[in-house]
Amino acid sequence: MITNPKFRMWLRDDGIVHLVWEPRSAMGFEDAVAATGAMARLTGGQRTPLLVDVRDCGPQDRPARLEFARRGDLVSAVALVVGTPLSRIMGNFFLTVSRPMAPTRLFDDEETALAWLSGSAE
Amino acid sequence: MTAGAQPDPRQAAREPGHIAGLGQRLPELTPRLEAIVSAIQAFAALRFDARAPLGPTGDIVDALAAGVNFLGEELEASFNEVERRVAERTAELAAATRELGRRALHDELTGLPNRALLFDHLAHRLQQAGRRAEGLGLLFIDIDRFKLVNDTLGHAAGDRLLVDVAARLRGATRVGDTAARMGGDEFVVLLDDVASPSAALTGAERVRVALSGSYELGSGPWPVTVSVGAVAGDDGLDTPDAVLAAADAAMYAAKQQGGGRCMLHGGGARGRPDHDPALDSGGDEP
Repeated sequence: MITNPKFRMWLRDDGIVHLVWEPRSAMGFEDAVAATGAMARLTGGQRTPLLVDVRDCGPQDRPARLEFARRGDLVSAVALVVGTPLSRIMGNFFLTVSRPMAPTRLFDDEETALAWLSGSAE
Repeated sequence: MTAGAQPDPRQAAREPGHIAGLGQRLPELTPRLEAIVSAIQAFAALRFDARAPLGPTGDIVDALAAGVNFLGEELEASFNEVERRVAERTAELAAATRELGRRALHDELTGLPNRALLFDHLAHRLQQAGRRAEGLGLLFIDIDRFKLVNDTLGHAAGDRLLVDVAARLRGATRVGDTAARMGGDEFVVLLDDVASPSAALTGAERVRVALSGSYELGSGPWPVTVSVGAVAGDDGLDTPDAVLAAADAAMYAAKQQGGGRCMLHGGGARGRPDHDPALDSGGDEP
């Protein structure tokens, strides 16, 4: 597991990378670089499905969104698990404005998100 | 409500000013909403760096504030991109305009000022004549037997000779003087500061010597001479056409005497034709 003041990340047994953002933490460019760097270290740079828990996270700025979108080479699919209205609108902005390269969807629960990621990995 | 008991949401929803799902009364929401309105007003005034503050809960008002902030970020990025593109296009347009201006006033082959720019400089210098103590001079230069180069070595060699002559002419021209190509194998130098007709003739001789000699045109060294006609400003000539015509006539007189020499309008000659039997037999001019 890779830990950071803003997030925790680990590679699950099913080959999915799990990223959990700390509650109410704002995401900036450096946080995005740290997260994508951690992802690259865990997977060796191979495209891997990613589960992101942003249910209770804080706001994300534009440079962070652009960095996540730019490093689409690291992910085969991304499931964003949202909870609060804030996390949902951030997820929607990421989908519609940043236009990530990899298939990306929002989910209300982890179970459905993992099922979709497993399907997308097949 | 007793101490430690949870508030009844149904009771709260019946109270005035309560907004369902927010758990806050309207008076408590007002400053948060006002901050969002302030950010929107700032965007309207093109202050895209304004941001609405977010609370800790991530509730619907925070989502609204975040949405407004997102829009501000995107507006700012788009605005900056448009400004960058406008600046880029403006610079390109200015460069293109400068290039068009340069092409309009310069000879494409040699890069020297062309006839139009020479006329402009000459007219300007003539206007200054009454206010400046020193006089002006003008040299009209023609390459002897240039046609022979084109006929013998081809037009590419002729063009190369023109480019090389232009380069030597630049080197022989003083700061403040204007060397121009009039067309064909004719060049002109406007001498900005000439003390006397004798000084104009000295300048002409300096140019003739600089341009005369051997040129490498792709088939071994090719000997070149030039004929130069010179005019001094105190010759009573007061229009560009008159000055040029006088210098042209002096150059023609130099040609008539065998070329490879300088002639001063109104009299005076310097230089000796560099005798070259190979050149004597070619071309329709000296």
